[in-house]
Amino acid sequence: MKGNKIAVSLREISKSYGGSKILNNVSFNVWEGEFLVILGPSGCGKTTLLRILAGLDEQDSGDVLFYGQNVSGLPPRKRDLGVVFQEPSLFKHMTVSQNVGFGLKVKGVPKYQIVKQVSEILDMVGLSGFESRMPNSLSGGQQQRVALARALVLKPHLLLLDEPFSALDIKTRQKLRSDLKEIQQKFGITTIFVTHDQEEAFELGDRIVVMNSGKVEHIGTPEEIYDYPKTEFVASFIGTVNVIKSRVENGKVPLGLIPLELPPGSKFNEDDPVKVLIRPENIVVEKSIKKLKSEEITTGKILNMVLLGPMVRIKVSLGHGVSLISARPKAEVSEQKLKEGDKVFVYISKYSIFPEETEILITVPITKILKV
Amino acid sequence: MKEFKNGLIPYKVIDHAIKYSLVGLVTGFFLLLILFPLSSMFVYSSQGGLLGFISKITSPAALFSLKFSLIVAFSATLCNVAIGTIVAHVLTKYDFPGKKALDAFVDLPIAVPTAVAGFTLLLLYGPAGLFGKYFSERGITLMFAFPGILLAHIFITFPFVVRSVSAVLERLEKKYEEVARTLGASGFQTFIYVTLPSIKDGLLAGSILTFARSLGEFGATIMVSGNLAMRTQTAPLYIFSRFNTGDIQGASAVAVVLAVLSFSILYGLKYFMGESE
Ligand SMILES: Nc1ncnc2c1ncn2[C@@H]1O[C@H](COP(=O)(O)OP(=O)(O)OP(=O)(O)O)[C@@H](O)[C@H]1O
Ligand SMILES: [Mg+2]
Repeated sequence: MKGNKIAVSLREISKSYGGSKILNNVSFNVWEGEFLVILGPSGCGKTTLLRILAGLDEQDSGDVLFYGQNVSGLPPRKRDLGVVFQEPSLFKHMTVSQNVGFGLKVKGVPKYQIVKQVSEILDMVGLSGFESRMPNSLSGGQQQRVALARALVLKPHLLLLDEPFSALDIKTRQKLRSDLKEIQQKFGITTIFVTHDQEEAFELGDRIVVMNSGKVEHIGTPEEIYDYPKTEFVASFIGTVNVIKSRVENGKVPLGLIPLELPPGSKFNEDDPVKVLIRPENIVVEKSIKKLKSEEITTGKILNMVLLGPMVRIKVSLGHGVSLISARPKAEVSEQKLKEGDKVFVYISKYSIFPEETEILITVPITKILKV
Repeated sequence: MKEFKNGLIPYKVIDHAIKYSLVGLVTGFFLLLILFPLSSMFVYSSQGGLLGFISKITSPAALFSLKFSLIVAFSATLCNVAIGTIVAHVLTKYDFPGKKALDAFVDLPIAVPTAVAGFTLLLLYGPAGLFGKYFSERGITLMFAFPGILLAHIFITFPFVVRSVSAVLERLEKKYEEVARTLGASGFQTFIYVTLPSIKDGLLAGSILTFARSLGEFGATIMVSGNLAMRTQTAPLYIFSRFNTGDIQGASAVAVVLAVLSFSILYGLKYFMGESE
């Protein structure tokens, strides 16, 4: 991976508040220089985990290791890290440069060095010339840049960010995101970034930790998580997905007329109830059968089509009460002159099968997709 | 205008009648209760002309009482800034059993009559009192001396700093202290650089209230001080004593100075509060 050293190691971290378990045996490693994103729905324990990493809260059990050293129980200032919270939390009575220089000042760094380092870091976050401004005269985006500079000026080994851009407008958010990534790479600083925004997670993360209800569901690169989700939750939380209930028959899973193969190594018994999850872009809709290569093909009928930017969302009925949402590039659709009511061939290029009884925590049911 | 139609007095007339009679009432109160007494004080104090006023105010006992009052008020303020900040900190930042009860006790000095407060201190710290005995056996006099007066003033003015600082602390978000800690600040550095600047306004407001209240304190002071001229006599006690001996002019002179001092403090506070908003 990134470096070959493990910078941060979480070992079976658990934490409860008032009898309810907020974190449940969370374990993972972060490589030196890696940009790791923790992604999960609101309330899944992301902030709690980050606060434990920072030393602002203490875990009930488990260990936090930085470069192999157990830092559990150490206060934040003994952990050599920088934190950026959702709100910039700039000290209101200090100028921008006093804010940024705060960490150096309490460390006893000489004044002339503080001035030099502060101006260097402000330059890097694009705020040269803002030294003597007061926080309340800055925009939200600028304030968050100052907060980032304030954390980075100490050259910490680890940077922790808790949804730092979620209160900003989309344009500012995107700009800050790419600037952060650039700065992170320049510094080579190990970074843990918490968000509930999958777009942000996919853009920033070298790897993504998907969390749900205090548990790690999947750790992997964005591609791994998107294409080969380990759990139904991961599949349904990330991107949009068709969820179809079925049952194992003769070692296959019938979907309309298509008998889908069970994934190799899966332990399903005959007649087990299952759920098939298929991403819209993995459903190919063609007018002629010649273009399709697999035998997992069925016929269907286009019920409706909606143009969504560069993609067209197509609802196809496969008969037997099954209909799917497909997403095809606009060019492909117009080339084939697809229209509502057309009889088409449908091919499913990729899918996942999960046992029926898995708890559906977040799913995107077909009816919901349709209303978009 | 269609007034007096149906033989009714229109609402507007009634409104006006109510408004002006209320304004008249308030003005009357103001004149009778505040302006007349205050101006008569000025009149009495200037009966001997400017020279008379100066000779009254520069008499050793008068000067002593004013100086002594300022020293007591200043010391009491200093003590309550320190104690009050700690109490406010404890009451807002920590959770512990009995916190609610403790919180309610903070306001007790406002509810207890000042003479009662002085009396209890006298019982406890007086030469024959439970604690006072211990000290007097070691040659330390608390009552009828500066320590006793200071103690009484600290007690009477105790709530002001606590309340004004906790009001600010309660609004002060924990996140600033957390940010400071993640930036490497110790608990003490966090307090000095982050917390203190934020509670500065509350601290100043509380101090001014404390100072003003202490300057005017009478009931508890007369109990614990023994009212000894040139030794334990504060300005309000001096006014009282002079008046009792028939020296109206002397009483008025110190009263005028004390009143002007208190007004300046009050308006200083108002000005300052307006500024900070
Ligand atoms: N100090 C606390 N006391 C009690 N409960 C808490 C405390 N901190 C967090 N919780 C609870 O723990 C759960 C997880 O909270 P946490 O803030 O870690 O979630 P999150 O994943 O960061 O959510 P969000 O995306 O909304 O920020 C929530 O149910 C929350 O109410
Ligand atoms: Mg959170």
